[in-house]
Amino acid sequence: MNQSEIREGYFGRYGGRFVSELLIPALEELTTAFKKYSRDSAFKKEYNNLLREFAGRPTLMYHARNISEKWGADVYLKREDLLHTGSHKINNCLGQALLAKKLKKPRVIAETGAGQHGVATATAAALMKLECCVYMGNEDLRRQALNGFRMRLLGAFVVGAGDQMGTLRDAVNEALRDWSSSVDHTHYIVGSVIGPHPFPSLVKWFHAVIGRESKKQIIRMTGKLPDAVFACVGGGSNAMGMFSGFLTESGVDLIGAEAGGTGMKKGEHSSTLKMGKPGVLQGCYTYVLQNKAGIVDNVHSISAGLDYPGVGPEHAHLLETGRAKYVAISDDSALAAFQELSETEGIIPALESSHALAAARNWVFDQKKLGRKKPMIVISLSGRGDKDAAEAQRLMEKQGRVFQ
Amino acid sequence: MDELQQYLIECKKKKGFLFVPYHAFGDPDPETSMKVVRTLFNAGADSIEIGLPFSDPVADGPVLQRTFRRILQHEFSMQNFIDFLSKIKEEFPDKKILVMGYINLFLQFGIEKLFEKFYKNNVRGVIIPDVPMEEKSYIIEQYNLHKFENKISWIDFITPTTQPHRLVKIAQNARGFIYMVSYKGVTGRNSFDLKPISKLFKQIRKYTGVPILVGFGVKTSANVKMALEYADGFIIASRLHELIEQNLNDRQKIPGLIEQELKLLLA
Repeated sequence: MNQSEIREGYFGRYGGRFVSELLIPALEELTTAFKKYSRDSAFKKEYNNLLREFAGRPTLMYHARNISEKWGADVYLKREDLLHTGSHKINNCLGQALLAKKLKKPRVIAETGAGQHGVATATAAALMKLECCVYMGNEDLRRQALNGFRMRLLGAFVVGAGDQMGTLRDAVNEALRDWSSSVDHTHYIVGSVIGPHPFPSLVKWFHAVIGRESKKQIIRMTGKLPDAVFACVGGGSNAMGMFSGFLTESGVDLIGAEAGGTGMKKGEHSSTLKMGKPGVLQGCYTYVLQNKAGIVDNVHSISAGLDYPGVGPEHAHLLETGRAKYVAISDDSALAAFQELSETEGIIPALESSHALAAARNWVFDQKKLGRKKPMIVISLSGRGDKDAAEAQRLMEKQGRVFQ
Repeated sequence: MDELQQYLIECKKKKGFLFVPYHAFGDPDPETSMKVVRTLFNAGADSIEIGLPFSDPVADGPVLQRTFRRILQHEFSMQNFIDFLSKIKEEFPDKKILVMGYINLFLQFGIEKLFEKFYKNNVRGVIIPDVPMEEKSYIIEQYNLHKFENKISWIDFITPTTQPHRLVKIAQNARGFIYMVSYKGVTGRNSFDLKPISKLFKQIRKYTGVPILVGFGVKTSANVKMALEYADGFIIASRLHELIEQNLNDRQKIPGLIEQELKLLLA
């Protein structure tokens, strides 16, 4: 299929709009608004001002010298963790909240896994005086209790989703159900490059700033393009943002790190692109972890933000075309990377981002085995690890580590 | 005219309206499930929407979510589902059946192959709540389903949010019947009023002769009366699974209770 034959809302054969007829008018309205405002210089100016003055962009590109020395590579970290609210999610939330304002919708809803998107949505809603309701899986509310409180503090309603084991996917289901009845006055701020068209394109557009800045910064700092860029992939929003800056640079390897969990058996991981197959989940045709009949699997990751049985449809396309590679990183490797960056560099990364760090480390060591000297890489440090501190401590003490 | 529309029009001639209940396959167990189907037909159902369970039923409310979770405690297989259809066909050879389910299960089995098996087992319509008009035509194209055009009607929804230009397009191309969603939301809510959308019925009638069936929130005989003021028939789903849910410890009673409930409803 050549580009011109690809239907709107599709990436190759992935994407589309698999939702109830009830939601179609809202998606069409949003698509039209997105087309209009993404070309509107006043809107772009307003959005960029928010990014600069409220969120703290541009974020730093940091040459991590200690890790570089330790790994024998040139390692650069794109510091999305330094953004207001602690992760890249705010890029998208400010943009979509601004769109909600333009669409004259006084209420926004969101799903959240780790709580980062929920907090960012609650923050944008507080700033722009929008009513806000966030759905979060009950299991995630347990392991990310702090973010539950932060959202409430910011004035959002927080609703537990799914049963005791409820995670991100249950939260998406609940948000879609809410939207079915509230669509007249509510905008759904989807938190990743997932869901029905136009969300995968729209969310990517708001995160493209990560890749744009990274490319400029790395060229300014080193005079060249990196050998590879790394990002973690749950739904895949920070990865899509980062990759989008380098898609056309064929010399730059794009590597996504999915959650390998505790093993590669069903239910132990959430490595959708590695272990899943194409299907329809929550509004789009993409890779899905599912059984033979098409019932979606329960999945696992140490990191609530990656604990998802689907993935953004554009990632499915990048996998199929071979432009990006995706690897599975186990809970233990992620936790080790979490510790390594904290101790070595003085930066506590989110457990999600720790998957990207572990993937980068593996890649560097593989490259060196192949005889490559000192590769230069950029890692998307999508979020900071404060929210994970309690869960990480619990897990590390379980492994026998003593903190005095 | 497609086979389903023909069938429904004949059914309506006999008793004046259409009654099409929904039953999720295997709730609460395969044996009781078959008894429920029997009860529904004996109570006067013209057809039954046999539901496929799904793990992520985004168009459904809490009752059907719990129903699917209950069913999926046992591994679901499409072959068992097809066997169930064939048992229904054996017992009720004159009844035409509908299948309702989320698209992923169709795609994983192979939609063309599945339609063939469905047709052999008296299925004359499918209802797929997460496939709107545009994706439907794309799937028909892609999987070469034109040959089923008059054999298995792929039912369209019209909802209170459907804009006029879409309504015209959906109505003009409708086959079998139109599934009129009574309110904005997911299945099983406790409020039902068609007055606010009465205009939509008139609009639809302008562009198509297929029957209109109302679904979402039909729970009482008053709801039924109102539904029949505007539409050719109605669909009932959550209420029946609520009854099953409330009697899981005494499954023998379930068919009898459903029979009573339907008597009250159709009175």
